[in-house]
Amino acid sequence: MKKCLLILGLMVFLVGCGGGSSDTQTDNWKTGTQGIEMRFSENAPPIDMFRDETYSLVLELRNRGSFPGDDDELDVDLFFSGFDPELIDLPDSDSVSIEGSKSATNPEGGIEFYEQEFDVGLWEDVDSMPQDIRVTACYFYETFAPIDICVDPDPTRNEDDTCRPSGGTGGGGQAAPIAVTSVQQESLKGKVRLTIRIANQGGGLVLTGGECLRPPRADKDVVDLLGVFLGSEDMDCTPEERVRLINGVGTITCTLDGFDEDLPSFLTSLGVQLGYDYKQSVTKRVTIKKID
Amino acid sequence: MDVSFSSFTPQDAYVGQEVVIGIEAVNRGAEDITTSKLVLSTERGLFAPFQNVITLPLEGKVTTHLSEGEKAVETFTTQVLPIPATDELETTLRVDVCYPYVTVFSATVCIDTDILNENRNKPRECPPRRMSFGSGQGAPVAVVKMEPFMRPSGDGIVPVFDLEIANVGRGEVYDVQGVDEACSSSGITQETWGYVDVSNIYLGSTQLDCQRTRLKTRETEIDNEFYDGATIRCTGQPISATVQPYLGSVTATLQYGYKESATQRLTLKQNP
Repeated sequence: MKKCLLILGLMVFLVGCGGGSSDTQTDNWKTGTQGIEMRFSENAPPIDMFRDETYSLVLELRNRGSFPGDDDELDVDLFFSGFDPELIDLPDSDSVSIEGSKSATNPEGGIEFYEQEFDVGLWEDVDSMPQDIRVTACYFYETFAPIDICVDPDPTRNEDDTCRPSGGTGGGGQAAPIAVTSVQQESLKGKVRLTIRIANQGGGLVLTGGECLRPPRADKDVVDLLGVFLGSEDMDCTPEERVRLINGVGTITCTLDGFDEDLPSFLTSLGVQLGYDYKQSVTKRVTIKKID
Repeated sequence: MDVSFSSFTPQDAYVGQEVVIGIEAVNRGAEDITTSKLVLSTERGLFAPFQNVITLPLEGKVTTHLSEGEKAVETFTTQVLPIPATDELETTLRVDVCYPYVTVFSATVCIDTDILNENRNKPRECPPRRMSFGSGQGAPVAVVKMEPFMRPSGDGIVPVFDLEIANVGRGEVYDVQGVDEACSSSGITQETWGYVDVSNIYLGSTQLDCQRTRLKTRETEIDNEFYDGATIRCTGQPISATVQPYLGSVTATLQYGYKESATQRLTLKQNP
């Protein structure tokens, strides 16, 4: 029994001395920088379409991220644009729900197909005409980034410390388009101060306020800070609610005090929870032709 | 339409000889010519009277035969009258053909409601740029350039198009109402010369509001070449900025009369 406890203690010690986070996340399923992956199914619609015919648009939507979790559905608003509505009678908008998201048991995420039939027309005096069929998807998403960090309540004493505060990195993302890319730590006596950098790595546009197609300028590149936790403690952060991304990157500074200075350093989990509307689109260039 | 004298039309003829003059007419354009008036003119007193006016329809190019449309060879038979006091006399044969014609122009243009350029996912044709149409539209009058503008207006834009229209053929353009007189002795008058009907210009199915319905072409230089050209500005209906940028179609149906001519020298000789 003593031998078992010794081995267990040694394992805890070895894990604790990791200091950073990368080793502990090697097998983490919660990676990736995508929310929804969206593409047109092959030949739906075809590249060449003919006047007065009916075609199908089929979209394949995959939720490659980890939100909303469990078996909840992710609601996605779809907006159709880029074409003359007198030529292609797709609706202005529609919606679809994707069941499932990335999880430990489902690393591929959820999948849903959206299908819509539409008629095609062409002006009498025109032989052929290019049109873009652009589908813009807007959805609410959350990033929950669990990052292991080492907290040292008294950086002046190191003899009993099991890890060294060195911040952490969120390389590879956290299964969401907005990712925590780095955490810098400053340890003070009884207090920890973190500088958390987040970035839009999903290739789309992040916004807030719910207006997707024409968001006010102030609502663009804004992420709502839902909470930052160190272990089970809420941290005090600046900014408190909304983080503005500049050139796709935002910074949050968080502090937590009240640590017992007599404690040696310890490894704990930093949780960063962000909420935002995300907008991305796919476009297909088609040509409408006339048959004499 | 191209009009020319046939190769069998003689270069010289003797007094009293019967002369067969051949005229070739080809519709090289995209539109059908329902009625064209073809007139062969000769100097008065040199030839016996003959029927020198004919009308002929010629179909235009079709998708199955793109190089040219219908071709016709017409012949005029006359006799050389005696020529006084000289052994030979050089004269000119002239053929004029007058017909109404239609140019159908269409161009794809970005209707860019996002004038602040905040939208990253616009059609690649956006923002709209000045466009040139060097190869014409299968007609002697063509839209050679189009410059679209998206004018800010309230919560959106008003599309504005400047169209440069030019006579790119070798003949003369005139008001479509003057087809009959163009190939008559009175010829094209000042009131009709150069006019093109531009009353049918559309963005999609919406008719554009143009500065005028008749456009008078004048000699103008475009890219170091001279044309009988003119510019017209057409304005569309306001489009809300809630409409996403899209590819629209500007179509113009230009109506006019056109006159083309050809000449050939003919030497008349006394009988030996």
